[in-house]
Amino acid sequence: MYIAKDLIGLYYETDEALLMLVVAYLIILLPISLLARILERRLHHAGFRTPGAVSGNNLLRLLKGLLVTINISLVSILISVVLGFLFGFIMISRFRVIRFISQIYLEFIRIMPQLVLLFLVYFGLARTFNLNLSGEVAALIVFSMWGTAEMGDLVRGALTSLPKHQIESGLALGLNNRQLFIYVVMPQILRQLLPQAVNLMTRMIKTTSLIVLIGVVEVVKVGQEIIEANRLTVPSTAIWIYGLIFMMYFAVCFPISRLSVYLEKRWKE
Amino acid sequence: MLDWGFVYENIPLYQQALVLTIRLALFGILGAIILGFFISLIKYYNVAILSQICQIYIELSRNTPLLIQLYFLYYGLPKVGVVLPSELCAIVGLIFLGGSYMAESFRSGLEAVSKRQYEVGLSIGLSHLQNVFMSSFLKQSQLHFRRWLLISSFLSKRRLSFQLLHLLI
Repeated sequence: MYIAKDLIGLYYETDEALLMLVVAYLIILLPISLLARILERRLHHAGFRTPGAVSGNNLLRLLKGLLVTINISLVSILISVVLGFLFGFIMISRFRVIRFISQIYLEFIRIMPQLVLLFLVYFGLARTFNLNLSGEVAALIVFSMWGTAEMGDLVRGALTSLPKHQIESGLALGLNNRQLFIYVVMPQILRQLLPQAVNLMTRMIKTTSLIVLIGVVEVVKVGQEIIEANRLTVPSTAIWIYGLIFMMYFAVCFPISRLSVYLEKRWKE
Repeated sequence: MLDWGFVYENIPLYQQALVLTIRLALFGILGAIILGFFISLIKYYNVAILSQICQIYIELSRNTPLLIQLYFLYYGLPKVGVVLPSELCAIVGLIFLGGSYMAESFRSGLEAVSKRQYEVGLSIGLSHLQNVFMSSFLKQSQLHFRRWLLISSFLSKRRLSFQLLHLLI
């Protein structure tokens, strides 16, 4: 709890959602890649070779696969936080037409299953425009689009729930627009946004497991390869590998969702 | 561009697939509502060990992707002797995922019932269970219904991920 507290203190003082994301990125990625590197070196050193299901090299490969998934979801969440902020401001625009168009975009992205969007971008673009994107790029596009819509809606919610008198008092004090934004609007909406954005991050990580279906070699694909390779020697590989992947996702998402709950509780008072 | 003739030819296939999707979603949602109801009651009354088990279940199901849960059910479990047919597998996976979301929704509904309201129920002679039903489910049904719809649409979207998976293999 203490570590989390320090980090949150840090986020809050700097007031930058982006910085928080970079820190989160490091928190998640560093231990995994360190673990992978240590394991790799040690196993290599010992000349370790066991034909088991979850032994040596396989665990390493799974961790690397997990890294691919997390990488894609974190890059797309970075993009969608930046674009989502813009989109949130667009959604409360003065002009009805712009509001209407952004509403349609939001509803379209929300109603479509992410898998359909993935297939549309990956297979559809290749067919109709002869645009052959790699699976990773297609995934990045789709998840940034989705994240932008979701994040935009969160920003919009935070902005509209901001009491009007806050802005009016700021104006009464003689703040200009920029000052109003930095000292009045931002601190308050960030408080509300952070827990939700962190929550969106876990959703993003969970949803990116779908990218295995457009041929990206991530943790599920690696798992399938391992299962295929051991089909004859260790027939019960499947349950161990899928169980392990299950726990891996849990190990990544659980701390993040706890963080979100903690942030929400702490800032509710 | 699009070959409409081909699309028309295949409409019956789409129809079948649509019916399957709706059936899976319906059973999944109904199961999730029932499971979520019992879990929320267990959590609300803080039943000794069951309550902790339910908490573990909720955390597990909320923090893992549906795809992995389904893979585990469909490919993993047969290795230890539990063979589920694919359709049942999809429904079980949906109930596993949806149960926790429904449970959270019911629980917040239960917690929103004021103590006074509950005591009024007791004083007019309702039993505990009747009371819970009347005060949280009927009185706040509007609120619940909105949440149910939200979660249901979320689940029926997830449906598709299984369906494609099923077709691919």
